[in-house]
Amino acid sequence: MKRRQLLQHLALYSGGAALGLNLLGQRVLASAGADAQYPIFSGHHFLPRAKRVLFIWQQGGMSPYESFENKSILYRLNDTSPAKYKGQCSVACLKPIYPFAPQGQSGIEMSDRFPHLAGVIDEMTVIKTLQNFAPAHPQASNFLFTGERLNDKPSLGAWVNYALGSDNPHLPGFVSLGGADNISNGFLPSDLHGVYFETEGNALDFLERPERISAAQQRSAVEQVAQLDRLYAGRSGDTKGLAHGNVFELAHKMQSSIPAVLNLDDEPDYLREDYGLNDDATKTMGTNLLSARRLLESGIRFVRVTDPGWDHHSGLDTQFPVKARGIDRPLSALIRDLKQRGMLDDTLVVVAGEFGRTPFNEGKIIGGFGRGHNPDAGIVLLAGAGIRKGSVYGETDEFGFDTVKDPVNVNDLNATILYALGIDHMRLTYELGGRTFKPTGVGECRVVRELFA
Amino acid sequence: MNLLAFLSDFHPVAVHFPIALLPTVALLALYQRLRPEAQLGSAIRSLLWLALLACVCAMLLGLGNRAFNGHGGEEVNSHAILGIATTVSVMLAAFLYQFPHWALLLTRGLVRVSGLALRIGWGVFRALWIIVRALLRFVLIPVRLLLWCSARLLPKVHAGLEVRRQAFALRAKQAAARIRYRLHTVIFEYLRPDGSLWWQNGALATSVVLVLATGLYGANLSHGEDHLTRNMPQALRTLLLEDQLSGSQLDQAYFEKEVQPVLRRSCVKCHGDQKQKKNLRLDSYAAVVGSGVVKYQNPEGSELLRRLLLPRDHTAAMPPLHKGRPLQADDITVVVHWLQGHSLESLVSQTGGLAPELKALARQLPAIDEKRLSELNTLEGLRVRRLVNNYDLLTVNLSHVAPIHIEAALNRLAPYAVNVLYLDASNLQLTATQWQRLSGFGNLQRLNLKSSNIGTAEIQYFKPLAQLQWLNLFSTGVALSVAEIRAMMPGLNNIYLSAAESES
Repeated sequence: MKRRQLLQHLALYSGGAALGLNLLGQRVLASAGADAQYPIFSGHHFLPRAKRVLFIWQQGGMSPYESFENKSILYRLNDTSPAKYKGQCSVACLKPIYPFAPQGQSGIEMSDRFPHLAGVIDEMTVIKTLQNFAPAHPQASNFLFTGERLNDKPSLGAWVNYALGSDNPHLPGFVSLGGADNISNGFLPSDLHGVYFETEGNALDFLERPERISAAQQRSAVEQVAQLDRLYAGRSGDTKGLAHGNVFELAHKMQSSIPAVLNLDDEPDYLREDYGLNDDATKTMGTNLLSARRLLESGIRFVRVTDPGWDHHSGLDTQFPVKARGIDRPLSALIRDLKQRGMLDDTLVVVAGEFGRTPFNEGKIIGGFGRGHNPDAGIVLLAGAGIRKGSVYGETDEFGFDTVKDPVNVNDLNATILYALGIDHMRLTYELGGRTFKPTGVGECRVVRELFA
Repeated sequence: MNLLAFLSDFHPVAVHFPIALLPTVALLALYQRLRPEAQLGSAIRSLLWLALLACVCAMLLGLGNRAFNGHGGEEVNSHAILGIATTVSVMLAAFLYQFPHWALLLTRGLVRVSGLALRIGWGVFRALWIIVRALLRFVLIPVRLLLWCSARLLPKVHAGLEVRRQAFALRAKQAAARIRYRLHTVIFEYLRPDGSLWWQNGALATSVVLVLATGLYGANLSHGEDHLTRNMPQALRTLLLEDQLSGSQLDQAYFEKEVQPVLRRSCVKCHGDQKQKKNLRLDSYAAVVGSGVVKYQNPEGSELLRRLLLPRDHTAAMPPLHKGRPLQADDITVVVHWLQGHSLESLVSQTGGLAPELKALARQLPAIDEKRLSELNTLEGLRVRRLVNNYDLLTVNLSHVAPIHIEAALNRLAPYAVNVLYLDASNLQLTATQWQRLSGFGNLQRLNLKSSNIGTAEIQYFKPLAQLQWLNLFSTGVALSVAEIRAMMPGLNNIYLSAAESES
């Protein structure tokens, strides 16, 4: 009887398949040297599309209705309460404040507050259905960057460097510009903590060596710290402390590397002009984004730029144009600059807030024009790394209040970012306290492959 | 011989007689049972003999089919055995209906035999019990001693124990009696030593069941396994054939991307739109899932896989010997993985989304183990990674290697130069010889030379790189136009030059 043979075959093949998967998921030790525990992967799970990520965080949550979401029903129901939401909302609808027009060859509808961005919209994908798990900023930000509600988990940049390591031995792998929120290494080794650089004045405090300490003394101090850490690791078998020495070592190296990288004077005048460095309205974002490009170019794997102040509960008519103007020109310059340098092919640019905003006018209560938090439909802009060019992903309902098709929750977004880097979010894990942690929190999430061309 | 083979081909026609006759007889017998005054005995008897004749004919033709027309295999064997069993059963039924007193004798004989067996069994049990009891007595001497002492010392307690022991013994005796009574009842009541109907009807019922089973098997052979269910309404299908249908949970995207090409290569010629052998089509997801040959999360129960895995010379093996292109181990893995219920995503993650050409290329290149790979990375600034896990294709970043280490890095990489597909050499200041060494990375697909010191002369070294698709010469001394570079390396998709001249 051939059944036995069949079963043996099956056991072999299915076992083989399972084995293959296991082997792929195995953590591969120490490629960077005897004392380094990471990068934990010596290869990629998927063919990598991106080598580096620039995450521009529109902290507060940009209003979709003043940027990409033009809902005709809101013009009709402006200042009235729609029957559909009776009992849920005590405020009236607010129509989009700024006129919309289709832009670029793709004809994506945009408000007139982003005239420069309209010029590069054909390079981007607009996701209209970002969903978050919390409607308040602190928790939503934690979800956006760590996949978890509480703020003690590793941020995405730390995960990425844990998996792939930094290419440049003289620079950290995870840098944050414009803000220092949500860049923690969490339970991951402490030298994976995001490094926050100021882009005005000194990039880092105490970066320069004090005069009374000679270079040789400093070098020797750093080496002795590392030696002590290695001694402890050798005796105790606990290698976590090695990160401590790595931090010293990296800080020492940054004394020479950082001033050079962040010196924007090297850039040609036309680029400085393009990024808006000569205009006060765009100078902050321009400096941050140009610095970010230089950092990415020098081998930093994950740069997060925080653009605070998008939380327009009021002031959509007064403050929103200021914010929009602040990011519009630098962002479009960045996209063009990356493209010209060939970097857009392997750099993933993500522009996202923690959530969207409601179609209702909260200004009714607190004055002016403003919108509340809406964790069910928000805007994400993606560009580079093989992302579809000039396309829109996801559909919202007639009010833009809820997602009706292709939702992308924050974990989906992060899984997709990791996918672009060649990492399977399900296999980038860390065992702690009896639980297997992954960068995309708990619960269902998926890689949104449709976003890639 | 030819004549026999010709006649044997009529087996599928002949089989319909017993299939029709036996249920008819059964219906008549049932009617007779309900209405004893109907007097259908002779009709039943004659039809049964007719059925026996048909059975024998069909059986002989079937066996002839097997012998002369080359039908064989596991299914055919089962069908043949069932057919023979049917004939024997019909023979018995006909005999018992014709000679009911034989049935009576048969019953009486059985009762005698079973009665005897019961007695013998009881005797053996008793004998064993005596031995066991003797042994128990021996073993229980200390206990009895204890009891004897307790009877002297604690007469009241002992008396209580004795009462319980006696009650237990009584209950055990009653239970044994009850069991014996039950056994007798079964034999003498249910078998009814005075009736012959039980035997007759039993044989007839067995015949009907057997003939239907044989027919079903045969129809499965000639019309395909789903010939009864393929047009079943969906609701009924879900209700009855949950297991059969569970194939519809299998991932469609996975099928279309991975399984379909395999089937197209090896199966669709006979199971597609041209031919539909055994009425089976394997050319679309709906057809494969609807045919019932695949089962979700159950590769072992999936007929498709069973056929694919049978030894090549087995008569049921697919594709048949010398006919279709046999499946490769890779193909089987793809199918098994699908049947296990995995999604395309998980398969993609297994192969990392590598194109088939790259997979093929990777197999020809020198292997690199993890140890070698980590050794390469110990040089400061040199980053060497697998493009995709488990494949010996590399992505290398040289741009952060200090100038004094460049030579060492190139030496380290030399044995694996052909493995490198992506190379980042931006910012490097190399000598002409070193550029020439880099151009020896023969399988490069992406080359980043941004802000390096490469010039018009050195870029010529890279001309033979046939696989190169992506070249970044931004901010270099290369004084060529995009058109000139394209003429030099026609395979390029993306070229980045200075600000004005980039093209993609």
